[in-house]
Parts: sequence; structure tokens; C-alpha cells
Amino acid sequence: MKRRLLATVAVMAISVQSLHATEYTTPVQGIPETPPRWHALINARVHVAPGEVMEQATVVLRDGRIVAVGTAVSAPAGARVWDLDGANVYAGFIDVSRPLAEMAARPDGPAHWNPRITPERRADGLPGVDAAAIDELRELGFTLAQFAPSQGIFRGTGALAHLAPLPDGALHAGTRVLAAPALAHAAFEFGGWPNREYPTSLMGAMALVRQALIDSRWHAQASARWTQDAAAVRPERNLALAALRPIAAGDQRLLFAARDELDYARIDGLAREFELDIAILGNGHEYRKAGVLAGAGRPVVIPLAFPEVPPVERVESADDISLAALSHWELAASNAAFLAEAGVEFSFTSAGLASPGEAFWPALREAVRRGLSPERALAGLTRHPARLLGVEDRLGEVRPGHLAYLSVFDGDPFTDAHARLRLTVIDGEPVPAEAARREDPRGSWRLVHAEGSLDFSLSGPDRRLRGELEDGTRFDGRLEEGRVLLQPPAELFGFEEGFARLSAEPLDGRLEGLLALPDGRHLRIRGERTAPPPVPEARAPVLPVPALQVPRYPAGAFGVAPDGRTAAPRNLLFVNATVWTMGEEGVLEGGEVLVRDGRIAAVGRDLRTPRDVLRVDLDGRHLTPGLIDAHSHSAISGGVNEASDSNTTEVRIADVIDPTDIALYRQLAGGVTTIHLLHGSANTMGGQNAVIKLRWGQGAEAMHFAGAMPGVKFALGENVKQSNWASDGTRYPQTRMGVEQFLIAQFEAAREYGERLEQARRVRGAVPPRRDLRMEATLEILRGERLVHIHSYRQDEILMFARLAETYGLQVGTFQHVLEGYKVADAIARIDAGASAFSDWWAFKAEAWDAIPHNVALMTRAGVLSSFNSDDNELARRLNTEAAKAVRHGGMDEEEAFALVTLNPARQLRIDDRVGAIAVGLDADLVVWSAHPLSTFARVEQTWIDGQRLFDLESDLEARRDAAAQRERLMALALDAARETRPQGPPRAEGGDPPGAGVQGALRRLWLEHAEAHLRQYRDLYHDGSNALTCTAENH
Amino acid sequence: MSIDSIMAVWGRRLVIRVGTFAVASMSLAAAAAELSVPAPPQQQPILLEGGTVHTVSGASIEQGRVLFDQGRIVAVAGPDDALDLPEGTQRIGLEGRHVYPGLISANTVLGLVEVDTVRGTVDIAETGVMNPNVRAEVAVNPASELFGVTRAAGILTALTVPQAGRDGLLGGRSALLRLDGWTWEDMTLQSGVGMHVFWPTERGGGFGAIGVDSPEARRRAAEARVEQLDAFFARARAYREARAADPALPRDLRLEALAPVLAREMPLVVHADELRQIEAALNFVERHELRLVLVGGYDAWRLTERLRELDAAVIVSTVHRLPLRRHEPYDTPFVLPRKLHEAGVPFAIARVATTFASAHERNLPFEAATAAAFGLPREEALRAVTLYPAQIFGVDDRIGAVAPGLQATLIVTDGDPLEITTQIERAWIDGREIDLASRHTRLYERYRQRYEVPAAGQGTRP
Repeated sequence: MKRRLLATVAVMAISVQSLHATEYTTPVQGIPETPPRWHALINARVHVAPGEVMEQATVVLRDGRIVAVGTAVSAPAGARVWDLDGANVYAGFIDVSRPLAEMAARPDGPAHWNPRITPERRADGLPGVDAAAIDELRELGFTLAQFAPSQGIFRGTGALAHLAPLPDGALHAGTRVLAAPALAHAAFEFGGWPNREYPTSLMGAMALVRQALIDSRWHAQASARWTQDAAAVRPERNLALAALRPIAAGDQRLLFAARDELDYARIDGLAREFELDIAILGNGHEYRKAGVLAGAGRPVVIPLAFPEVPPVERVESADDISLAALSHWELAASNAAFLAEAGVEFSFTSAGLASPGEAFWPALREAVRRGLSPERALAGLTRHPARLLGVEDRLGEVRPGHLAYLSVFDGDPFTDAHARLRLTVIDGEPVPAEAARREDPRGSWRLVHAEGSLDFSLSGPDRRLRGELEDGTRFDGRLEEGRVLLQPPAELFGFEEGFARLSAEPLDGRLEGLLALPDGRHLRIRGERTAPPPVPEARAPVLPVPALQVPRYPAGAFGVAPDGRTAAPRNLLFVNATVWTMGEEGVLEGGEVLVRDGRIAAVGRDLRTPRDVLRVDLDGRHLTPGLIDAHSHSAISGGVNEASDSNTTEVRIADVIDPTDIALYRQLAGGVTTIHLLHGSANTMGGQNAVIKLRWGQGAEAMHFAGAMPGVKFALGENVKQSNWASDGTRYPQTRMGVEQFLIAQFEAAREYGERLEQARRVRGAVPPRRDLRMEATLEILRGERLVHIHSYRQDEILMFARLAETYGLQVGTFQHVLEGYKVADAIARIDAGASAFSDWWAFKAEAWDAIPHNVALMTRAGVLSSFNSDDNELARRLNTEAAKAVRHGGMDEEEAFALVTLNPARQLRIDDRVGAIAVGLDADLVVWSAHPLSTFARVEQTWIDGQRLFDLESDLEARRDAAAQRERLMALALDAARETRPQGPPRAEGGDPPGAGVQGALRRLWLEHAEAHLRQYRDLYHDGSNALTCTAENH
Repeated sequence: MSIDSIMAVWGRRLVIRVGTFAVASMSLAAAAAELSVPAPPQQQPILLEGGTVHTVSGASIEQGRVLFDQGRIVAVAGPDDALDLPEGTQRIGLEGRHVYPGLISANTVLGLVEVDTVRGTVDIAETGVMNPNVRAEVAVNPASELFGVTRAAGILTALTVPQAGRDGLLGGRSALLRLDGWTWEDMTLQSGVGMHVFWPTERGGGFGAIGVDSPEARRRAAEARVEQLDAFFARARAYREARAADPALPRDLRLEALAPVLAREMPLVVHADELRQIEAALNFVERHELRLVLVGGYDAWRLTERLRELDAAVIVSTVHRLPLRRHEPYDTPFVLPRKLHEAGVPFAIARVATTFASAHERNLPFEAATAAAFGLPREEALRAVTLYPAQIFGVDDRIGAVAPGLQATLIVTDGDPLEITTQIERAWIDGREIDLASRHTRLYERYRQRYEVPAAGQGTRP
């Protein structure tokens, strides 16, 4: 509602500017210029709005405004009349997001502490925008573009500017920019390891977005209090927090860039959390999440940059192109059609195209060929951008009262490759298109001069012309500033040698000019066209139009087809199973397990079973609970470490779960059903954890383990003191001594923060202290509401933290790795902490020198609840045999050992009321093994989660076959497409001249650069499945 | 030796044996905390009898007998075969136990590294692009704690491979080590086993590697590196001829080191995984007429015919790895040994030669087990970590099986050594019974005492 109000005010501002456009306050020197601002476009086919067409209509424009549209409207006296010969008149196209090439200006004044929070930047000055950029957009038919700041998280406010030519070469940004309520722009931007400027991760960027919004709201509140209350404390002056206010209040729309298909839900989540007005700047993969976007109900901006044909000819390399990338190549152009089908409101942008001038319209027409209606396509250039910008009552349609911005085409550009821009109307003034202004001289001509006539054809790219006579004689020429310059051989005119010089201007199908002969005579020549210029060869459709059916998810191999996920059977019975209950019943031979609605309903022998039950006969095979990995970094997008500050407890793994990580599927194939996702160990106090179930094929939200107790990752030792870095660090702490002091300092700060909150609560009307997400999380830890999972190696640090935990009453879920836990097991047991260890890793760093594989056996006997974990995407596939190592080293019995990867991690994560055993009431997360589950020869045959079969050998084989078939189909398509579109050999020099030796190198470089840009697209959007953490000392 | 004394030996083993809590006296535990002492040469003939003998090269023998003397296996016999026992033969009863050849690690940096992050303990890669002249054995630290931990898993021989440094191509010459001895000379079973080249990869950075070179640029870079190798081998050939013509020419250590490779006496051991790399390497050895052993071999199953043509063997390194490509089946690395076996390509199973992996070399047999779980016949899996690496390295006349004439490098287990739950109970290298205690069992023994005998003040707040 508020936004609406603001939009209205702003549109009034536009009209005020336009109405007074001809009244000058500057004293006029000499004769005043008052050109008429009336235009009438007659004989127009007017697309008043998408789907609403008037034939033979007239559009009257006055002073920058559309004053009349209709078939009965006649051109008023005094108006300049433009006969459009039936051309299509559309509302002026708007490119809603063009990134500025240069940094938008920021006003002088106190900035945000983080250089990526610059909402106060404004694009008004249009830095880096030049005539070429404006002309290129206008020649596509665009009349307006919103130029957007392109750096940072909160990047600043864009500027909606018109695209009139620059007659004097100056941009005149001040008059070009409309006084409209431009959008604010944002993106998840972060540096990478080892850049230590906050944020270094996606989750850090998200945390920073939250804190900045909170700070701005608090700042507004405190500022208001200060103006009202003389006794109030004056808040700091801060331009960024001030600029964020309308965004935080939902008054200014934010266009938020999504880097991949997972960001949509993240952005939508932030918008809901803070009640922001957010539109999404897409990336071309929107079709994969059309349902999510439709559900979010947010406008979306989509690019038209489609991947080029995959290079499948090189057999030895083609296999590195993933099926996901291949299938994106097929579906990318269908993006808009998918969104239209799903009911998502979208606008197009030309941003992202390497050369919009050449690629924009072919891409848009391809989108239309894929099933997008031309009306929806038109809406994406007119009505929807206007709505997105909040100016739909003045722009986006051809209606009286709207501002005079029009795009006029000969032909239908949405379906016809021969359609050409005729003119644009910008700020009330028609601008003839370059293409219409400059006649294309190519084609065939008959030249008549005083002494005869000459028939020839002109061809050639761009400005280089080549003449050719009927007998095949060729001669050179060029097009220079609208004049055709030719040098035909003089023998055509009766001379023995030399060349004649011809200079003529193409005029409406004629050539008019002079011919200079070698003897000094100048003849007038006139040319008549005998054949029109060749029409640009429309690129033949290279792909059969794919059906608009919801694609499998995640894209590529092993994705789940929307209909491939059958609902869990209501009643499910495993019979003839060797059941590892993990409880008092031990291992039941010939056991049965009944599952009802995803939960275990009965365990035993000869169970009474309902009639409609799906029986799974295991023929004696082992049935165990799903394995639980108590330490994983799988399925985390955008960095595992917020490796900047020593306390980053505000960052949340839950924000950045990547359900497309193929590691999840591979781990299902290893019998894993639940994993504990942890922040890395770069900081003493890392980020908040997440527990997920491997519900492959679903979105991030669906994977969350509901009800798992919140946790946080802490770390001790070499990693947090940065001891294995190439150079010495300076971040505190650099010693284990400092680690303890840092922890104490943070706990004390959080305690004080809690006291301030409490105080403010007691004083009526007090402005509460600024909400500090970092301190808030730390306070939750102090209150025992958030479990600590602490990466630790040596006994000294383990003991130190155990004592600290006692002092502060912390709930320690687990000491992680805890390599020397066996040396101080009593101290761990004393605080009821768990221990989650590597089975047998040692010696990979100094602090791992005393690690032994008997660790867990010793700790267990000392009363410590212990588990094994993987901390590794590969090892995670073999947790069952990790458990076997506790039998080998330390002599644990088999069930005790198997509990290390099932029941015990469930207890450590406080989810043992749901998973970890086979008992009545627990989730039916089950694994069927081909042999004894501690045997190295055992394979997982089936993995079930919540009574649903998510992996089994047969469907896996089917998925492989399907992936192979898809792959072959797409490869064949790509090969066809490549034959049609791929240049054969290196490009030749203009005019076909063989390149000189010196040029050859440069050309080869050009060609290779082209090839590289082309191949770069096949770097997958998805994580390639490699271990996000490689086995280096820095990471474990 | 009396039955009693044999039992005493068993008793000691049992104490040290992981997972056994039967006997634990302070004195034994103190003894366990001492450093391992390399075993002395075999003093008397030894007969292992009563257990199952897994010869690996032939059929297994229930109630089999293995007689060895002066470090060599004299006879392998069934219970009813005639067998003359030399005077003074020590008889060791192995009822319910199993005898296997010692396992062989075919790709490690054992001895060249102690702690990954402590640079002073890391000697795995020399600087520079071409280091054919360096030899691994001279930098092997016989006191490395990693040896004891590795031995305890039944791995008694390991190939130690000099690696390539950053931008390096030729790492140097590998050596086969027996994992027990006073000096590196004692430990070296075979020097100059192979010349190791680390084939340039075209694969780009993985996850998060935004901004890395394009595939085209990487391809060009790889091609340039292969050209560099070609030139180096051509120079070595010319050098060899020049030196033959004029022995007074100054020595070039690097080029000289390639002589046995050019003469096909030493294989070129190419470390490569991808199809493109392997193809390029095959072309290279054809061009230069070399013997090839491939290490890595992830994509080798696609070129089996050509590998067979060139008599090349593949050391699969490693089974426990992730698929290289997102779209590949989850078990792609697990089924590679089966595919090579079915195609008739000689192969062995190894781990990767990184500092991290070598500390955990004890998991080698379980990699072979995974290959078996995914279709490789079990006996082939066992051969892949015993007989086959011995054959590939040309030492199958000395190790890799239990057969007369071979060295008595053996282990005794209570089950299949490819199962994690199996215990390795005794081991001999060249007939010398070696200590299976390790840093790990010693620390285990030491800290067990902390909880069994509470010390004063323990468990109280400071």
C-alpha cells in the first residue's frame, strides 16, 4: 500500500517535469525556440496493451504525452504527421535492469562499516553509460532502461533513463533520468577464501543483509526518539542506514539478483522475514523453479542469454559436459514459456547478452517459438517492466495520459526475423531507427549514366562493399557515412586501364551521384534497384521444441521426475529381515518391521498386518536404521566457512542448503539418511548448524529435519589460530591461550547484551538495544538453547573447553574430531558432552599426531556418548565400515559399534525420538544391506526415508539408463545444431582476404577467445560433485 | 620351542593386539610403550601348520603347512603331503587361523613424510619440472611411525613414489620397501622400480573454482607440457648416443637417469585419470617405445584394448574416491577393477600417494574389498593387493604369494584380511617376525591405564 502511494507521487513528479518542459526560467538570449511538440502517427497498428490491437489507428502525442489513440482520431492541425504504413506500434520497450559498468556515486558522509553495504549509492549520474550503449539499446526498440549499480550487497538505487540519442555527444544524465521511484538493487556478494573481509560466504552475505536491515530499523527508531526526546542518546549519523530505511520499511522495491536457482527461495525467505518488497533478477534457470517462483508471487526479470551449442564433437572431452548442462542448453530458450505457463510475471532484460544488438531479437523470437505467446513476450517488454518499476499508470501501454514512449516496427518482431525497427518515440519525440534511416545499398542495381548503363550487384558485410558484374568481374568499394563509394574498372567505360570513382547516395530505392572517369570527366549517375538487399538469413530452428513439462529435479542425471516420486505406501511391511533394532531386542533374525504413514508401527515376528500392505521380502538380508553422519559439509552453497571474524555465530547453514548436491544421492546409495551440516573450523565460534534428511529430489526447505535442536559450530586449535597458513596471521587468537580468552570475552559480551535487553524490557518506552544477531546467537548458547559442536584435537584444548562449558553452563552436543578425547574422556563425560570422531585419521597435522583408532572405544568405556562421522563426501558413503573399525581397534561389539553411526549420533543431535533405531514410533528411515552391515563386502540395496524408497539398485540402474538415453538424445541434437551454426575453421578477415602472417596470430587469439567464451558456459551451475572439502589440513 | 613358549609369544601378541582386554599388567604396558625394534634375521627354520594357507598364486590349502628358512619359503604343503623338517624347526600351530602373503601397497609416499603440515618432515617432491634422477629410497626415514601403523594392517611392502612438485612432470624413481629395517638400505627391496611422470591434466578446478582457465586454455597448456616431455625424452636419447660415442662428455644427471627407461628396462609410470590424459600418455609411450604402467586410471576402462596392445598394467588409484563427473553412477570408481579384470588388463589396487593417504595406508585392503563388493571376484581382489602389484613391479619371484622360493613375507590372520573386523595377528618379513605394535597400540595401552587405575587428583576441578 505504501509503495503504491509512493509510486503515485513519483508519477506526478514525472508529469510535472513533462508538462513544464517548454517553459524556461532562463532569460532567453536572441530568438526563442519553441518547436511544436505535437506528433500524429497515422496508419498505425496500435498494440494498446498486450492482446489489445487497433488497426488503422492514429496516435496523437503532445508535449511528451499520449493524448489520443483510436481509429476515429484524426491528426490535429499543427502536428507533424508520421505515416506508418500499417507498422506495429507498441508501448515503448523498457529494459528493466542494465548493470552500470562503473561504480555508482555515493554521497559524502559516514558509510556503513562494511564496504558491500552501500544502499546510498545512486545511479542518477549514469556513470559509464555512453552513446554506444544507448544507441544499441534504442536500435533494439528500447526507449527506457533502468541502469543499476552493480557492486556490493545493498548496491544502491538505480535510475530509469530514456534512450534518446545524444545529439551533442553529451549524456545529459540530469534530464535523461526520469524522476521515477527507481528500484534499489541487491545481490548476495561475497569474497572467497582466503580473502578475510566479511562476508566470505553466501551465508555470511545473508547474515549481513539481515543485520543491516535490523540496524537500519533500529537506527530509524533511535533517530526518531532523539528528535522527540531531549534526553535521548543521539544515534550515529550513517548514510547507508538512512538509505536502507525505505527498503527496510517495504516502501522501496528491491530488485534482488539470484545467482542460481536456489537463490529464489533464499530471496523470497528474506522478503517474508522482513516484509520487504522484493522482485527477483533471474539468471536463466528460472524454469527449474517455476513452481517456487509462482508460489512466491514476485515479479521476475529474466535474461535472454542462452548457452551456445555444446561442443560435443570432441569425444574425449564431451563427457565432461554434464547432463544438467546439456539439458539446460535444450531448455534455456523455453524459460519464458515455462514461466508464462506457471503464471509468473516476468520482464525481459538484454543484460547478460554479449552483443545484445545481434542476439536479443533472435533469442526472444526463439522464446516465442518455444511456446511463449507474442502477447506475453510484449508484456515482458512493456506492461510488466512498468509494473515492476511502479509506473504502470504512465508507462507500459499506448493509452491517452501515458507518457509518449513508443516502439514502432515494420513487421512483427516477435515472430518475424525480417521485422525491422522503424522508429522509437522517446520523451514525446520520434527517433527514426538507424536501420530505417540508412538505406542498405546491397542488392542489384542498374546504373544509368550519360553514356550507357551498367548492371551489377553489391554485397559485403557491414561497411565493406564488393561489386560484381554479371560477367563475374569484381571491384571494391565501401559505405561511408551513408554514401556508396565504388571503384569499378575504367575499361567498363572504354578506358584501357585504371579505375573509375563512383560516389552516390542511396535514396529510397535509388542511387544518385557522380562518376569520375580517368580523363577527368564527371558524369551524373542514377541507379535503379533491380533486386532488394538480401534479407538477413533467419537462423533455422535448430532444436525441436521441447515440451513444457516440469523437468526432473535436480536437473541432469539422477534427478527425480515430478511423477517419479510415488507417495510413500500407507502400509509397508518388511519380512524375513535380520533387523538391527539398536535397542534391547538386539538383532532380530527373521524379523518383521511394519511401517504406517512413514513411521514404524511394529517390530517383531509374526506381526498382525493390515490388509493393504506393501510387503518387502528381504530374504534374510540385514535391515538397519538409516545411517546418521554427525559431521558433514555436503549440500552447502557458497562456502562452508565464514572465514572472516573469530565469532560468526550469526551465520546459518540452514540459509544455504543445496538440495542439488549430487553428494546427497551418492550418500543415499551408502545408506545415509540424516546428516549434520556444520560450518567449517576457520573460526573459534563458527556458524549455526543444520540437520537435514536426504530427501533427494526435493527443495532445501523440505530437507530440514524438523525439531532438531539448534546448534552451533565452535573450533579450537590449529585451524582457528591459522597455524597452517602460508604466512603468519594477525587475527586474534593466534594461540590456544588466546582461544580461551576470546571465548570468555565473547561469552561476557553476550551476557552483558542479555542484561541490556532485560533492562530495556523493564523500562517502559525505552528504545531497546540494537538487536545484534551475533550476540543473540551467543546468548542462546549461554542459555543452553543452542548445542555447541566443537572441533577439537588436543587434550589441553578439550579440557579447557570442558571447564569453560561447566563455568558457563553450556550444552555441548559434541566435541567434534576430538582426537585426543581418549586422554581426557572423564572430563568429557563429566559435562555430558558427546564425542564424534574420525575412525582412524591421524598424522595429517601436528595436533593429530597422537590420534589413535582406539579413541572411541576408550571414550565409550569412560562413559562418553560417541559417534563416528565422515567430514568427507566420499567417506560418508562408507560409514557402516567406519563403524567396523571400532570392532577392529578397541574391541567394541558389533551392535555397540554400529550404534556409532546410528543411535549415538541421533542422541548427540537430540533427534533420537525420531531416528537412529528401529523402534515403534520412530521415522521409517531404513537401509537394506546385501550382507552383514559391518562387512566390507556389503552393499546398500535400498534406502528408505519416512517410509519412502529414495534409493534402490533397480531404480538406480533405471536412472542410469535414462541419463544415458537423455545424454545421447541431447548429443545428437547438439551435433545437428553444431553443423548448422558452428563456424567452420577460424573466421576469415573482413571481405575474405587471407590474413597476413602478422595478423594470423592475432586472429587466432581472437578465435580462441571466442571459443573460450563459448566453452565457459559449460561450467556447470551445479556443484560438480567433487568433495567441497579436499583432504587438506586446513579443512579438517 | 615348547608349546608354552609359543603360547607366551601368542600371549604377548594378544596383549598388544587391539581389542583385547584380557591381560594388562603395568610391566607389559610399559614394554609396549617402547620403540619397535627391527627384527633380527631368521634364526631357525619355521613351520606354520594347522591354518588355511592362501597361496594366492595357486589354490588355498586347508590345514596347510608353510616351511621357511633363512628368509625364504622352502615348502608349501597340504596336511598329508610328505615334508622333511630340518632339525631345529620351530613349529607354530595356527588352528583356525589363516596365512596370506604380506599385502603390498603399490602407490605411497611412506617414509618420505611424517606430519603433513610440518614441512621439515615432508620430502615427497623435489622442486623443478624434471627430476628423473632423484630416487625415493635415500630419503626414507626408517624410524617413521607410519611404518609401524601400516605394518600392523598386514601391509609389509610398499612402493614409495617421488611426487611432482608444483608444475612438475617427472617426479623421479620409486622404490619398493620392506616395512621393517634399521636403515633405508635394509628396507629397500628394489630400487628404481619405475620412472614416475605426472601427466598434465586438462580438468579445471572443481567446486567454486570460478575464474580458472577455460577448458581450451587448459588443453593448450597440457599440450605444451606434453611437448616439453617429448623434447626431454628426445634429448635423453641423443644424450645417450652422444655419451656412447664420447664418454668424456660432461654428465647430465637428469638425462642419464632416463637411460633405463629408454632401454625399456624400467617402466614409465604415468599418473593419469582422464581419458584425454591416458590417450596422450599411450601415444607418448608409443612414440618413444617405452614400457607403460598407468597409475590412477579412472577412465582406463574405456581404452582397455589399447592398454592390452601396449602390455600396459593399471594401478587403480584409488577405489575409495568420488566419481569425477557429476552425472556418473555413484559406483563408477568401485567397478573399475572389475571392468579391467573382465577386459583382461593387468591391474593392481592402490591408494593415492599423498601424505594424507599414506598415513592411512592401513585401509588398502578395504579398497580391494569394495571392488569385490561391486563385482570383482574376491580372489582377484586379494591378488590386486598382493600378487598383481608384485608382477607389475617385476618382483613376483620374491614376494606377492605363498610359494616355494619366494621370500617369507607373510601374515597370519583370524579371517579374511579384506574384512575390517579381521585381526592381523603375526607377520614375517623375509622370515623375520616383526613387531605389530605401533604408536597407536602403545598410546592405547598407555591411556587405558588412566581409567583403570585412577590417579590421585584425577577428575577433580583444578
